[in-house]
Amino acid sequence: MMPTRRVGLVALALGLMAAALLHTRSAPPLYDGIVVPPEPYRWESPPPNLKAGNKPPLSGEVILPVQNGQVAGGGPQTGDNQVIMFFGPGFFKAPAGAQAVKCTIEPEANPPAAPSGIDIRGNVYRINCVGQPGDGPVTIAAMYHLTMRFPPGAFKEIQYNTRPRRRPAPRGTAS
Amino acid sequence: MIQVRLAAPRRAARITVLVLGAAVLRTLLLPAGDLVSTATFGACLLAISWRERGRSSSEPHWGRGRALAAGLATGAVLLVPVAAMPLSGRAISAFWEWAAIAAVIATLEETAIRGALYQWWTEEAGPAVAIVAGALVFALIHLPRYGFGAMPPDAAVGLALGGLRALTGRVLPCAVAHTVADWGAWFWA
Repeated sequence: MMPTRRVGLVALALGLMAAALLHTRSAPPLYDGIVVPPEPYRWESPPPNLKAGNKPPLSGEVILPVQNGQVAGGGPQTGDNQVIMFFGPGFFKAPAGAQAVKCTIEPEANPPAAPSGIDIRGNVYRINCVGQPGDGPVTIAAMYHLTMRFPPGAFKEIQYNTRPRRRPAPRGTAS
Repeated sequence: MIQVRLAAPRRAARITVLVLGAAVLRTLLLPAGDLVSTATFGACLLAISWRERGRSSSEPHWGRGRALAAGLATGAVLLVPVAAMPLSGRAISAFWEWAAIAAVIATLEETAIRGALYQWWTEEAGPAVAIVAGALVFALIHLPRYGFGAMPPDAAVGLALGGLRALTGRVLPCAVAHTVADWGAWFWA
């Protein structure tokens, strides 16, 4: 084999292996900078006019290990990227003996009714984090980031529920 | 021959600056809309490729069918990690227009980077440098759109495409692999 071809073969093999190893969900598998149109919103209970062609929303799960008594940072995201969460290191206080914290995000098929004057647009998700093994409760010790996609349509205000009251989400931060 | 290789790679550096300049121009034009900025970027790459079109390499190259198969296979391998993700819900009816634009831009990137840029770097510094330079340029031109996080995987894909160029002696398989990998984004990203 000629030297140039040998160099090419080595580069091709190294490049393909590195690309496979470096691939992450957040890195777009697109290599020419063109915008891919967003995927249609996946409805748990689609409006009648969107029923045809709707794909069900996906769930997500992550297991965060406990390292030196502290829960590592990270977060779950749904398979369709409609909900993405991030917790910093030490965000959770895990129960004694826990080796990891398992967090899941599941679309809720039968959510509770919204209070009067409030519309629920899109899906309701149940986010659950428990210590493992044993499914013991975990305590939240710091702030977290939650990104939720919502379906298109006009709205006056987005609110978030910090029980017992609802607060308007500051403009520019709701996503 | 030795003198040529030791000389400063002026033409190669010039083509490199031109390709990077096209990416910078595209970024500056983003406020005018994606269509305008992408069309300008494509026009710049076309101009670079057109200007260098007469420079045919004397290196032996694979036949068209074999090169095409290599491009398809490389594109398929690039999609392997993506294929484990759930399929997107994008409509196939809207795919074709987007796919045509993606194919044109991917091909122009390949004719500029794996064509003109690779040729000059090979002549002035050797194929290994040409492959690495092409991979770096490939990662850098995508930086404004995808950020630093995407640079390592983009550089890796650039390395693979440069390797494919050196192995086959053709730009065609690189354009095919690049296009196939891009099209996967419609179905999996």
